[in-house]
Amino acid sequence: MMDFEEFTQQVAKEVKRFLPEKYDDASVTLQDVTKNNDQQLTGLMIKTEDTNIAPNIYLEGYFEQYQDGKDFEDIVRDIADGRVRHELNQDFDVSKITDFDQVKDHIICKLVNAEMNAEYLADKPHTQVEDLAVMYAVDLGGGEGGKMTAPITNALMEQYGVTTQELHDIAIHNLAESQIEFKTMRDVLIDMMFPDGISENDPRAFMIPPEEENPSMYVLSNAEKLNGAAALLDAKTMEDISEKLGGDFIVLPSSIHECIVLPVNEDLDRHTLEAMVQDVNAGQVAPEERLSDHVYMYDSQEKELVLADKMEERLQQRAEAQKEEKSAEQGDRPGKAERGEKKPERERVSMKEKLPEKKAEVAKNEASREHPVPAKTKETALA
Amino acid sequence: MSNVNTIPHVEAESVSKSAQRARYTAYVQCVRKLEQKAKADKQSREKAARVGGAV
Repeated sequence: MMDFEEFTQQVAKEVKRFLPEKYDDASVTLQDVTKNNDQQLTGLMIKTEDTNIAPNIYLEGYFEQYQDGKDFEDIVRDIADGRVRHELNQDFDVSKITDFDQVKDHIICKLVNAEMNAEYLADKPHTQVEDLAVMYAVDLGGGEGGKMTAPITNALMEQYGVTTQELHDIAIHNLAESQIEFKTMRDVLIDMMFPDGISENDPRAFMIPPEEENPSMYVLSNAEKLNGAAALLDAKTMEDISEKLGGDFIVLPSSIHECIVLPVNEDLDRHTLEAMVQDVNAGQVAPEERLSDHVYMYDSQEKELVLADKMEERLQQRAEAQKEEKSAEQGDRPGKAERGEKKPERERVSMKEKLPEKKAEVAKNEASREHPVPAKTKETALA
Repeated sequence: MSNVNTIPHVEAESVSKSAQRARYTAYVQCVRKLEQKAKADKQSREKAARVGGAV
Protein backbone atom coordinates (compact mmCIF):
# COMPACT_ATOMS: atom_id res chain seq x y z
CA MET A 1 0.00 0.00 0.00
CA MET A 2 1.43 3.37 -1.08
CA ASP A 3 1.44 6.43 1.16
CA PHE A 4 -0.04 9.69 -0.17
CA GLU A 5 3.28 11.00 -1.52
CA GLU A 6 3.97 7.76 -3.40
CA PHE A 7 0.38 7.66 -4.62
CA THR A 8 0.54 11.17 -6.13
CA GLN A 9 3.90 10.46 -7.82
CA GLN A 10 2.57 7.21 -9.24
CA VAL A 11 -0.61 8.87 -10.54
CA ALA A 12 1.49 11.56 -12.27
CA LYS A 13 3.65 8.88 -13.82
CA GLU A 14 0.83 6.63 -15.02
CA VAL A 15 -1.94 9.02 -16.02
CA LYS A 16 -0.86 9.57 -19.64
CA ARG A 17 -1.40 5.87 -20.35
CA PHE A 18 -5.13 6.46 -19.89
CA LEU A 19 -5.38 9.70 -21.85
CA PRO A 20 -6.13 10.08 -25.58
CA GLU A 21 -3.31 10.67 -28.07
CA LYS A 22 -3.63 14.46 -28.04
CA TYR A 23 -2.17 14.45 -24.52
CA ASP A 24 1.02 12.66 -25.54
CA ASP A 25 3.04 15.87 -25.33
CA ALA A 26 1.13 17.32 -22.38
CA SER A 27 3.06 18.38 -19.29
CA VAL A 28 2.05 16.66 -16.06
CA THR A 29 2.81 18.47 -12.79
CA LEU A 30 1.89 18.19 -9.15
CA GLN A 31 1.38 21.29 -7.07
CA ASP A 32 0.38 22.11 -3.52
CA VAL A 33 -2.60 24.43 -3.33
CA THR A 34 -3.78 26.32 -0.25
CA LYS A 35 -7.56 26.55 -0.10
CA ASN A 36 -9.89 28.26 2.36
CA ASN A 37 -9.01 27.81 6.04
CA ASP A 38 -5.47 26.93 4.99
CA GLN A 39 -6.53 23.51 3.77
CA GLN A 40 -3.59 22.08 1.82
CA LEU A 41 -4.47 20.07 -1.26
CA THR A 42 -2.33 18.41 -3.90
CA GLY A 43 -3.38 19.21 -7.44
CA LEU A 44 -2.48 17.31 -10.59
CA MET A 45 -2.25 19.50 -13.66
CA ILE A 46 -2.18 18.09 -17.17
CA LYS A 47 -1.62 20.88 -19.66
CA THR A 48 -1.47 20.55 -23.42
CA GLU A 49 0.61 23.02 -25.42
CA ASP A 50 -2.36 24.54 -27.26
CA THR A 51 -4.05 26.08 -24.22
CA ASN A 52 -3.13 28.52 -21.46
CA ILE A 53 -5.38 27.02 -18.79
CA ALA A 54 -5.83 23.60 -17.30
CA PRO A 55 -7.86 22.22 -14.42
CA ASN A 56 -6.24 21.22 -11.16
CA ILE A 57 -7.38 17.75 -10.18
CA TYR A 58 -7.18 17.38 -6.41
CA LEU A 59 -5.91 13.96 -5.42
CA GLU A 60 -6.95 13.68 -1.76
CA GLY A 61 -10.36 12.20 -2.57
CA TYR A 62 -8.85 9.69 -4.98
CA PHE A 63 -6.34 8.64 -2.31
CA GLU A 64 -9.22 7.95 0.07
CA GLN A 65 -10.75 5.67 -2.57
CA TYR A 66 -7.38 3.92 -2.87
CA GLN A 67 -7.24 3.44 0.91
CA ASP A 68 -10.76 2.06 0.79
CA GLY A 69 -9.51 -0.64 -1.55
CA LYS A 70 -10.36 0.67 -5.01
CA ASP A 71 -8.03 -0.61 -7.73
CA PHE A 72 -5.22 1.85 -8.51
CA GLU A 73 -5.61 1.53 -12.29
CA ASP A 74 -9.34 2.25 -12.04
CA ILE A 75 -8.56 5.38 -10.04
CA VAL A 76 -6.03 6.63 -12.60
CA ARG A 77 -8.55 5.91 -15.37
CA ASP A 78 -11.17 8.00 -13.50
CA ILE A 79 -8.68 10.85 -13.15
CA ALA A 80 -7.86 10.72 -16.86
CA ASP A 81 -11.57 10.63 -17.78
CA GLY A 82 -12.21 13.60 -15.52
CA ARG A 83 -9.41 15.56 -17.17
CA VAL A 84 -10.80 14.90 -20.66
CA ARG A 85 -14.29 15.95 -19.55
CA HIS A 86 -12.92 19.30 -18.32
CA GLU A 87 -10.99 20.10 -21.47
CA LEU A 88 -11.43 23.68 -22.65
CA ASN A 89 -11.52 24.03 -26.41
CA GLN A 90 -10.50 27.66 -26.37
CA ASP A 91 -7.84 29.68 -24.65
CA PHE A 92 -9.07 31.39 -21.52
CA ASP A 93 -9.37 35.14 -22.04
CA VAL A 94 -6.92 36.35 -19.39
CA SER A 95 -8.13 39.95 -19.66
CA LYS A 96 -11.31 38.87 -17.87
CA ILE A 97 -9.13 38.82 -14.76
CA THR A 98 -6.33 41.26 -15.49
CA ASP A 99 -8.10 44.17 -17.21
CA PHE A 100 -9.48 46.35 -14.43
CA ASP A 101 -12.14 47.96 -16.62
CA GLN A 102 -13.57 44.54 -17.43
CA VAL A 103 -13.15 43.32 -13.87
CA LYS A 104 -14.50 46.08 -11.63
CA ASP A 105 -18.19 45.20 -11.93
CA HIS A 106 -17.38 41.59 -11.09
CA ILE A 107 -15.31 42.08 -7.94
CA ILE A 108 -16.93 40.25 -5.07
CA CYS A 109 -16.05 39.93 -1.41
CA LYS A 110 -15.81 36.77 0.63
CA LEU A 111 -15.90 36.57 4.39
CA VAL A 112 -13.48 34.07 5.93
CA ASN A 113 -11.84 33.42 9.28
CA ALA A 114 -8.73 35.58 9.64
CA GLU A 115 -6.73 33.28 11.87
CA MET A 116 -7.58 30.05 10.08
CA ASN A 117 -6.56 31.67 6.77
CA ALA A 118 -3.28 33.25 7.82
CA GLU A 119 -1.35 31.49 5.08
CA TYR A 120 -4.05 31.79 2.41
CA LEU A 121 -4.38 35.52 3.02
CA ALA A 122 -0.64 36.19 3.16
CA ASP A 123 -0.44 37.21 -0.52
CA LYS A 124 -3.93 38.69 -0.76
CA PRO A 125 -5.30 42.12 0.15
CA HIS A 126 -7.89 41.79 2.88
CA THR A 127 -9.78 43.79 5.49
CA GLN A 128 -10.22 42.71 9.07
CA VAL A 129 -13.71 42.76 10.59
CA GLU A 130 -13.46 41.56 14.17
CA ASP A 131 -11.79 38.14 13.92
CA LEU A 132 -12.96 37.68 10.33
CA ALA A 133 -11.33 38.81 7.09
CA VAL A 134 -12.89 40.20 3.95
CA MET A 135 -11.04 39.05 0.86
CA TYR A 136 -11.74 39.88 -2.76
CA ALA A 137 -12.16 37.85 -5.93
CA VAL A 138 -13.22 38.25 -9.54
CA ASP A 139 -16.49 36.48 -10.26
CA LEU A 140 -16.04 34.67 -13.57
CA GLY A 141 -19.57 33.30 -13.61
CA GLY A 142 -20.64 29.71 -13.77
CA GLY A 143 -23.56 27.44 -14.05
CA GLU A 144 -26.00 25.76 -11.75
CA GLY A 145 -24.49 24.80 -8.44
CA GLY A 146 -21.14 26.50 -8.83
CA LYS A 147 -19.03 29.27 -10.21
CA MET A 148 -15.46 30.16 -11.04
CA THR A 149 -13.66 32.89 -9.17
CA ALA A 150 -10.15 34.31 -9.27
CA PRO A 151 -8.93 35.45 -5.85
CA ILE A 152 -7.32 38.89 -6.04
CA THR A 153 -3.71 38.72 -4.95
CA ASN A 154 -1.43 41.60 -4.03
CA ALA A 155 0.24 41.26 -7.43
CA LEU A 156 -3.10 41.47 -9.24
CA MET A 157 -4.18 44.45 -7.16
CA GLU A 158 -0.95 46.22 -8.06
CA GLN A 159 -1.62 45.48 -11.71
CA TYR A 160 -5.08 47.06 -11.32
CA GLY A 161 -3.44 50.13 -9.80
CA VAL A 162 -5.88 50.33 -6.89
CA THR A 163 -5.54 50.21 -3.11
CA THR A 164 -7.12 47.74 -0.70
CA GLN A 165 -9.52 50.49 0.36
CA GLU A 166 -10.64 51.09 -3.23
CA LEU A 167 -10.98 47.37 -3.83
CA HIS A 168 -13.05 47.06 -0.68
CA ASP A 169 -15.33 49.93 -1.64
CA ILE A 170 -15.93 48.44 -5.09
CA ALA A 171 -16.67 44.99 -3.64
CA ILE A 172 -19.07 46.44 -1.06
CA HIS A 173 -20.80 48.47 -3.78
CA ASN A 174 -21.18 45.32 -5.91
CA LEU A 175 -22.45 43.42 -2.86
CA ALA A 176 -25.18 46.01 -2.34
CA GLU A 177 -26.23 45.50 -5.95
CA SER A 178 -26.27 41.72 -5.60
CA GLN A 179 -29.16 39.49 -4.58
CA ILE A 180 -29.01 39.10 -0.81
CA GLU A 181 -31.56 36.82 0.80
CA PHE A 182 -32.88 36.95 4.34
CA LYS A 183 -35.48 34.28 4.97
CA THR A 184 -36.88 32.37 7.90
CA MET A 185 -35.20 29.03 8.53
CA ARG A 186 -38.59 27.41 7.95
CA ASP A 187 -38.87 28.90 4.45
CA VAL A 188 -35.27 28.00 3.57
CA LEU A 189 -35.75 24.38 4.65
CA ILE A 190 -39.06 24.09 2.81
CA ASP A 191 -37.47 25.50 -0.39
CA MET A 192 -34.61 23.06 -0.01
CA MET A 193 -36.45 19.90 1.00
CA PHE A 194 -39.89 20.36 -0.51
CA PRO A 195 -39.50 22.40 -3.69
CA ASP A 196 -42.88 21.10 -4.89
CA GLY A 197 -44.68 21.89 -1.65
CA ILE A 198 -44.71 20.32 1.80
CA SER A 199 -46.81 17.25 2.50
CA GLU A 200 -47.93 16.66 6.08
CA ASN A 201 -47.48 12.93 5.66
CA ASP A 202 -43.87 13.21 4.58
CA PRO A 203 -41.70 11.71 7.36
CA ARG A 204 -39.17 14.51 6.86
CA ALA A 205 -41.74 17.15 7.79
CA PHE A 206 -40.70 16.96 11.45
CA MET A 207 -37.41 18.62 10.50
CA ILE A 208 -39.22 21.81 9.54
CA PRO A 209 -39.66 24.34 12.36
CA PRO A 210 -43.30 25.20 13.09
CA GLU A 211 -44.83 28.29 11.58
CA GLU A 212 -44.49 31.11 14.12
CA GLU A 213 -45.80 34.62 14.38
CA ASN A 214 -42.34 35.76 15.45
CA PRO A 215 -39.87 33.33 13.86
CA SER A 216 -36.89 32.50 16.04
CA MET A 217 -34.39 31.64 13.27
CA TYR A 218 -33.46 33.27 10.00
CA VAL A 219 -30.87 32.55 7.32
CA LEU A 220 -28.84 35.33 5.74
CA SER A 221 -27.07 34.48 2.48
CA ASN A 222 -27.16 35.29 -1.23
CA ALA A 223 -29.35 33.82 -3.94
CA GLU A 224 -26.65 31.31 -4.91
CA LYS A 225 -25.98 30.31 -1.27
CA LEU A 226 -22.29 30.50 -2.17
CA ASN A 227 -19.96 32.65 -0.01
CA GLY A 228 -23.15 34.21 1.32
CA ALA A 229 -21.79 35.06 4.79
CA ALA A 230 -20.41 38.20 3.13
CA ALA A 231 -23.99 39.53 3.20
CA LEU A 232 -23.14 40.58 6.78
CA LEU A 233 -21.05 43.36 5.21
CA ASP A 234 -24.01 45.03 3.55
CA ALA A 235 -24.96 47.92 5.82
CA LYS A 236 -28.46 48.35 4.39
CA THR A 237 -29.30 44.66 4.84
CA MET A 238 -28.13 44.75 8.45
CA GLU A 239 -30.18 47.87 9.18
CA ASP A 240 -33.24 46.30 7.57
CA ILE A 241 -32.84 43.16 9.67
CA SER A 242 -32.40 45.26 12.80
CA GLU A 243 -35.60 47.13 12.01
CA LYS A 244 -37.46 43.88 11.39
CA LEU A 245 -36.23 42.24 14.58
CA GLY A 246 -36.50 45.33 16.75
CA GLY A 247 -32.88 46.32 17.42
CA ASP A 248 -29.82 44.22 18.19
CA PHE A 249 -29.69 40.66 16.91
CA ILE A 250 -27.54 37.55 17.24
CA VAL A 251 -25.45 36.16 14.35
CA LEU A 252 -24.34 32.52 14.33
CA PRO A 253 -21.55 31.96 11.78
CA SER A 254 -22.87 28.70 10.38
CA SER A 255 -20.43 28.65 7.43
CA ILE A 256 -18.73 30.85 4.84
CA HIS A 257 -21.87 30.36 2.74
CA GLU A 258 -24.47 31.75 5.16
CA CYS A 259 -25.15 32.95 8.69
CA ILE A 260 -28.01 32.22 11.02
CA VAL A 261 -29.72 35.19 12.61
CA LEU A 262 -31.62 34.99 15.89
CA PRO A 263 -33.58 37.75 17.57
CA VAL A 264 -32.20 38.62 21.01
CA ASN A 265 -33.60 36.12 23.48
CA GLU A 266 -32.77 36.27 27.17
CA ASP A 267 -33.02 32.49 27.37
CA LEU A 268 -30.08 32.03 24.98
CA ASP A 269 -26.85 33.09 26.64
CA ARG A 270 -23.63 33.63 24.73
CA HIS A 271 -21.72 30.71 26.24
CA THR A 272 -24.45 28.22 25.38
CA LEU A 273 -24.72 29.56 21.84
CA GLU A 274 -20.95 29.50 21.38
CA ALA A 275 -20.83 25.88 22.56
CA MET A 276 -23.57 25.09 20.04
CA VAL A 277 -21.69 26.76 17.16
CA GLN A 278 -18.54 24.85 18.06
CA ASP A 279 -20.45 21.56 18.20
CA VAL A 280 -22.10 22.10 14.82
CA ASN A 281 -18.82 23.24 13.27
CA ALA A 282 -17.03 20.15 14.53
CA GLY A 283 -19.75 17.73 13.52
CA GLN A 284 -21.49 19.14 10.47
CA VAL A 285 -19.31 21.71 8.72
CA ALA A 286 -16.48 20.78 6.37
CA PRO A 287 -13.17 22.30 7.56
CA GLU A 288 -12.85 24.46 4.45
CA GLU A 289 -16.36 25.87 4.95
CA ARG A 290 -16.05 26.87 8.61
CA LEU A 291 -16.36 30.55 9.32
CA SER A 292 -15.89 30.95 13.06
CA ASP A 293 -16.38 29.35 16.46
CA HIS A 294 -17.59 32.63 17.94
CA VAL A 295 -20.98 34.26 18.23
CA TYR A 296 -21.53 37.80 16.94
CA MET A 297 -24.10 40.49 17.53
CA TYR A 298 -25.32 43.42 15.52
CA ASP A 299 -25.13 46.57 17.59
CA SER A 300 -28.08 48.58 16.31
CA GLN A 301 -26.87 51.71 18.11
CA GLU A 302 -23.42 51.71 16.51
CA LYS A 303 -24.69 49.96 13.35
CA GLU A 304 -21.93 47.39 13.35
CA LEU A 305 -21.22 43.71 13.80
CA VAL A 306 -19.28 42.87 16.95
CA LEU A 307 -18.19 39.77 18.80
CA ALA A 308 -20.89 38.84 21.32
CA ASP A 309 -18.55 39.13 24.31
CA LYS A 310 -17.67 42.67 23.29
CA MET A 311 -21.36 43.45 22.90
CA GLU A 312 -22.03 42.18 26.42
CA GLU A 313 -19.46 44.63 27.78
CA ARG A 314 -20.98 47.46 25.76
CA LEU A 315 -24.47 46.71 27.02
CA GLN A 316 -23.23 46.57 30.57
CA GLN A 317 -21.45 49.90 30.23
CA ARG A 318 -24.47 51.50 28.62
CA ALA A 319 -26.71 50.20 31.39
CA GLU A 320 -24.34 51.57 34.04
CA ALA A 321 -24.10 54.94 32.34
CA GLN A 322 -27.88 55.10 32.04
CA LYS A 323 -28.30 54.16 35.69
CA GLU A 324 -25.90 56.85 36.82
CA GLU A 325 -27.49 59.42 34.57
CA LYS A 326 -30.84 58.58 36.08
CA SER A 327 -29.45 58.80 39.59
CA ALA A 328 -27.92 62.18 38.79
CA GLU A 329 -31.22 63.43 37.43
CA GLN A 330 -32.89 62.31 40.63
CA GLY A 331 -30.13 64.10 42.53
CA ASP A 332 -31.21 67.39 40.89
CA ARG A 333 -34.77 66.97 42.12
CA PRO A 334 -35.75 67.85 45.70
CA GLY A 335 -33.86 65.19 47.61
CA LYS A 336 -34.17 63.56 50.96
CA ALA A 337 -32.31 66.37 52.67
CA GLU A 338 -34.65 68.99 51.24
CA ARG A 339 -37.56 66.90 52.42
CA GLY A 340 -36.08 67.04 55.90
CA GLU A 341 -34.36 63.68 55.67
CA LYS A 342 -30.68 63.29 56.41
CA LYS A 343 -28.50 62.59 53.40
CA PRO A 344 -24.72 62.50 53.45
CA GLU A 345 -23.38 65.55 51.58
CA ARG A 346 -20.36 63.65 50.24
CA GLU A 347 -22.52 61.10 48.40
CA ARG A 348 -24.75 63.70 46.76
CA VAL A 349 -21.81 65.71 45.47
CA SER A 350 -19.80 62.74 44.25
CA MET A 351 -22.73 61.45 42.19
CA LYS A 352 -22.86 64.68 40.22
CA GLU A 353 -19.12 64.77 39.84
CA LYS A 354 -18.91 61.20 38.69
CA LEU A 355 -21.41 61.45 35.83
CA PRO A 356 -19.31 63.40 33.27
CA GLU A 357 -16.33 61.30 34.25
CA LYS A 358 -18.28 58.08 33.67
CA LYS A 359 -19.65 59.34 30.35
CA ALA A 360 -16.14 60.22 29.20
CA GLU A 361 -14.92 56.79 30.25
CA VAL A 362 -17.65 55.03 28.24
CA ALA A 363 -16.96 57.23 25.20
CA LYS A 364 -13.25 56.51 25.50
CA ASN A 365 -13.83 52.75 25.71
CA GLU A 366 -16.11 52.82 22.69
CA ALA A 367 -13.59 54.86 20.70
CA SER A 368 -10.59 52.73 21.61
CA ARG A 369 -12.25 49.51 20.49
CA GLU A 370 -11.28 47.87 17.24
CA HIS A 371 -14.05 49.21 15.01
CA PRO A 372 -15.53 46.57 12.75
CA VAL A 373 -16.68 48.99 10.10
CA PRO A 374 -14.32 47.85 7.39
CA ALA A 375 -13.32 51.30 6.17
CA LYS A 376 -11.79 52.07 9.53
CA THR A 377 -9.90 48.85 9.96
CA LYS A 378 -8.24 48.26 6.65
CA GLU A 379 -5.46 45.76 6.83
CA THR A 380 -3.61 44.59 3.86
CA ALA A 381 -1.31 41.68 3.42
CA LEU A 382 1.03 43.88 1.42
CA ALA A 383 4.34 44.23 3.15
CA MET B 1 -9.46 25.34 -12.64
CA SER B 2 -6.03 26.70 -12.11
CA ASN B 3 -3.44 28.76 -13.83
CA VAL B 4 -0.47 27.74 -15.85
CA ASN B 5 1.89 30.57 -14.87
CA THR B 6 0.48 32.90 -17.52
CA ILE B 7 -2.77 33.70 -15.70
CA PRO B 8 -3.89 34.17 -12.12
CA HIS B 9 -5.20 31.29 -10.11
CA VAL B 10 -8.84 30.42 -10.82
CA GLU B 11 -10.96 28.40 -8.41
CA ALA B 12 -14.07 26.38 -9.11
CA GLU B 13 -16.50 26.76 -6.21
CA SER B 14 -19.69 24.94 -5.47
CA VAL B 15 -21.92 24.33 -2.53
CA SER B 16 -23.20 20.98 -1.37
CA LYS B 17 -26.95 21.01 -0.73
CA SER B 18 -26.77 18.01 1.57
CA ALA B 19 -24.05 19.66 3.68
CA GLN B 20 -26.15 22.80 3.81
CA ARG B 21 -29.21 20.89 4.94
CA ALA B 22 -27.18 19.07 7.59
CA ARG B 23 -25.96 22.40 9.02
CA TYR B 24 -29.41 23.94 9.02
CA THR B 25 -31.16 20.99 10.64
CA ALA B 26 -28.40 20.71 13.26
CA TYR B 27 -28.97 24.36 14.21
CA VAL B 28 -32.75 23.95 14.23
CA GLN B 29 -32.49 20.99 16.57
CA CYS B 30 -29.95 22.65 18.86
CA VAL B 31 -31.90 25.90 19.15
CA ARG B 32 -35.11 23.94 19.76
CA LYS B 33 -33.41 22.01 22.58
CA LEU B 34 -32.09 25.21 24.15
CA GLU B 35 -35.51 26.84 23.99
CA GLN B 36 -37.17 23.78 25.51
CA LYS B 37 -34.57 23.64 28.27
CA ALA B 38 -35.00 27.35 29.00
CA LYS B 39 -38.78 26.87 29.12
CA ALA B 40 -38.49 23.88 31.48
CA ASP B 41 -36.05 25.79 33.74
CA LYS B 42 -38.41 28.74 33.87
CA GLN B 43 -41.36 26.52 34.74
CA SER B 44 -39.46 24.81 37.52
CA ARG B 45 -38.30 28.19 38.89
CA GLU B 46 -41.89 29.44 38.87
CA LYS B 47 -43.07 26.27 40.56
CA ALA B 48 -40.40 26.58 43.23
CA ALA B 49 -41.39 30.21 43.82
CA ARG B 50 -45.03 29.22 44.17
CA VAL B 51 -44.18 26.46 46.63
CA GLY B 52 -41.89 28.82 48.54
CA GLY B 53 -44.64 31.43 48.63
CA ALA B 54 -47.12 28.94 50.08
CA VAL B 55 -44.70 28.04 52.84
